[in-house]
Amino acid sequence: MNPEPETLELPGDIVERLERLDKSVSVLTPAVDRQVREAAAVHFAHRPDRVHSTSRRWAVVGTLAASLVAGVFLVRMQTGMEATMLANDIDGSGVVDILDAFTLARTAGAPGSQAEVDALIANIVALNGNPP
Amino acid sequence: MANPRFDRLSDAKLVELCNSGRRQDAVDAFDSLYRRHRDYVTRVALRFSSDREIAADTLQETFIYLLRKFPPSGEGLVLTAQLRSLLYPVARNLTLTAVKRRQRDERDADVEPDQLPDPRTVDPRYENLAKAMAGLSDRHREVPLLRFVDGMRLNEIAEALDIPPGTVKSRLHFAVGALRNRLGVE
Repeated sequence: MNPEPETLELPGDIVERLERLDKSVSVLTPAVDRQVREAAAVHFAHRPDRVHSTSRRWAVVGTLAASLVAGVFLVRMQTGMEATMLANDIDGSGVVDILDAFTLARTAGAPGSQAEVDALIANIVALNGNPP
Repeated sequence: MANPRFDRLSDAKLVELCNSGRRQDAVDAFDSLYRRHRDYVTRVALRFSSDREIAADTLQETFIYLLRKFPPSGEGLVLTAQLRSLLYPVARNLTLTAVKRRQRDERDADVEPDQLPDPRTVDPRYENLAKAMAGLSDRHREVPLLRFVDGMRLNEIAEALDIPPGTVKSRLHFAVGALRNRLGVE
């Protein structure tokens, strides 16, 4: 059977009445609403819960702040070390080594110079990985 | 409580969240699907039973069925058509099963049919149409409702009823002719 398309249609006013007839009865289902939601909560209970967006935002901010503080600290520490190193580069070779200690010892004459030489040697030893 | 943010999402997106969303997202997405289609499923049940208690049971069982389509590990239901095409046959079959069970229980309890409450009172404005629809068999009555009230295309009706599209056309043709005839429409 192959009916023509127009035989498959109803007049608009009947369709409208049919819709109203079908939708004229409503059933309030608060108990079912609650039971379905509870069933869904149990069903999906195994899933990992979402991270709230505000918590996630603060976590990102915290991480960035910690990174910034750590970066500033490292830069300042490196800058301080370089400054100290440059101050002790007696022979201007660009490297603070035992030769700087010898140079300092040779030029030393004032009281307290030996203490400076000892301190420099201790720093060089420490920078090479050994405790002073 | 309902999450209004999810009410703006499509059925396909909500199904996706039920499949693979995190716990609260999945619950909220499923709740949105439920509230969006709750009245429809209830109406489908009332088309076959006119009993509010059966309709409420059907509503609950239909959505428990849908819930089980989303397995714990995710990636369950894939929506290839309107969600109503899936909900309709489930609600219909659950209702018809409940009606048969009710009739069997009534026979066993020897209850007279007129002792039972008639929960559906037809608005007088639609009485003629209701009578004309009641004169159709279940299989002929449901097709014009799916076509004209639910707005399904013929292939969607065929999928929902699990019958060939040609059978949908012939049932619709018969139902439309019968309704036109009973309502005195040329």
